[in-house]
Amino acid sequence: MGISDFTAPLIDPMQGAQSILSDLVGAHRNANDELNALMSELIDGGGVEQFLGTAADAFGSAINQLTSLSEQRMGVFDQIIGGLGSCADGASSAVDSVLGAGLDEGLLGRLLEHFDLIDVILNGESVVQAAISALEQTLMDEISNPLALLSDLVSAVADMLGGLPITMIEWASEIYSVAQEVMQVINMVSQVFSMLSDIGNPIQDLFGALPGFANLLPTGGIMGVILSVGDGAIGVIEGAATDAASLFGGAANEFASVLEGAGMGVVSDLGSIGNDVLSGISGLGDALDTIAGGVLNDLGSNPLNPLSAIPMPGNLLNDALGSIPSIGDALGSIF
Amino acid sequence: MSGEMSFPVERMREIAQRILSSTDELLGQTQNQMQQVFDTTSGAPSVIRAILDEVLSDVFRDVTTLLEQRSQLGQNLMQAAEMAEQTEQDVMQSFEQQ
Repeated sequence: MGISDFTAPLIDPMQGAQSILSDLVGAHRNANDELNALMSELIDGGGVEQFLGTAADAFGSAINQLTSLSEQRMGVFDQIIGGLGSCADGASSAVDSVLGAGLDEGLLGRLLEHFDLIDVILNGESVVQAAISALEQTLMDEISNPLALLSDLVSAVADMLGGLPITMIEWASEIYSVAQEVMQVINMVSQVFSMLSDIGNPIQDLFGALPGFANLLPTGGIMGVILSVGDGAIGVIEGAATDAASLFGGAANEFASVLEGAGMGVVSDLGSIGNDVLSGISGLGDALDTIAGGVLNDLGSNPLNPLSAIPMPGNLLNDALGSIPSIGDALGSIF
Repeated sequence: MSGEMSFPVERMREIAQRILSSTDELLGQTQNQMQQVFDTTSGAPSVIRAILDEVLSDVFRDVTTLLEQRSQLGQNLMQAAEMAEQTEQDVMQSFEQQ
C-alpha cells in the first residue's frame, strides 16, 4: 500500500464532494439572483405596469425571505466546501512530502497497513506520537538483538576466522542500513500523521457543533487506536526481523563460502594477525553498542526529531571502521 | 385599507410561470447533485461518510424545502393573477347587471 492509496479514501471523496457542492451552490445563488430580478421586474413594472398594493408587498417580502434563507444554507455549504478543501489540501501536501522523500515504498507500505487513517484523524496527534515513540523504541530494541547475536557469532568462531571480519563489517553495515531506512520511514510517517491529525481538526471544528456529531465519534476510540498501533508496531518489527534474518542468512552462507575457499590452512597462519582481527572486531562491537545507545538516548529525549538530527550509523560506522585499519592490512597479508 | 393597488395580470402569470419552470429545473438539478455527492462520499471511510452524510442530509433537506416553498410562491403568484382577473370580471359583471 502506497501513501497515495492510504489517503485516497479520504482525499478523493472530499475533492469530489467539494466540486459537486461548489456547482450546486453556484446554481442556487444564480437562481436567487434570478428570483430577485423577477421580483424587481414585476414590482417595478419595467416602466409599463407595476405590481402594487399589499399583495405586491407580501410577494416581495416572501421573495426576500426565501432568498435570505437560501443564502444562509449556501453559507453552510460554503463552510463545508472550505472544510473539505482544507482537509483534502492538507492530506495532499502530506502525500507530496512523503512522495518527495524517496522512501522505500515497501517499508512504508508495510507500516501504513497497520495504521487506521480515520482513527488518526479523529483521535489526534498525541496518540500517534505515543505510538510512534513506542515504535521507535521497539525498533531500537530489535537493533540491539542483532548486535548481541553478532557478538555471539564472533565469540563462537573467533579462533577460525579468515575473511570473516570483512563479511561481518559489511553485514553490520547492512543491518544499520535497514534500520536507518526503517527509521526514515517511521519519522516520515509520524510527520504525515501529524499533518493528518491537523487536518482532522477542521473536520471536527466544522461538524462538532452540529447535533448528533458527538454520537458518531467512536467511543473508546483512543484505546482502539492504541491497540491497532500496537499491532502495527508488532508488524513492523516482524518485518524488520525478517529483513535482519535475511541478512543473517546471507551472511551465514557467505561465512561458509569464505571458510570453504580459504581452507583450514589459512586459519593456521593467522598467528598474531588473528589477534589484530579479533581486536578490530571487538572494537567494532563496542562502537556499534555506543551507536545504538546514542540513538536510543536521542530518541528518548525527542522522539520525533527529524532523522537528520539523529547521529545515524553511517558516519559513525565509517569512524569505527577507520579506527581499525589493521584489519585491511592484516587481510591483505593473508591473501 | 388604503393605498394604490395594481395587478398586471399577464406579467404576473408570465413571471409565475418562469419561477415555476426555473424552480422545477433547479429542484431536478439539486436532487441529481445530491445523489452525486452521496455516491462520491460512499467511497469514504465509514466514520467520515457518516459525518458528511448527516450534515449534508440536513442541509439538503432545508434546500429542498426552500425549493418547494419557492415553487409554492410561484403557484401563489399564478393564483393571485387569476384572482385579480376574476375579481375584475366580477366587478365588471356587477356593473353590467345593474
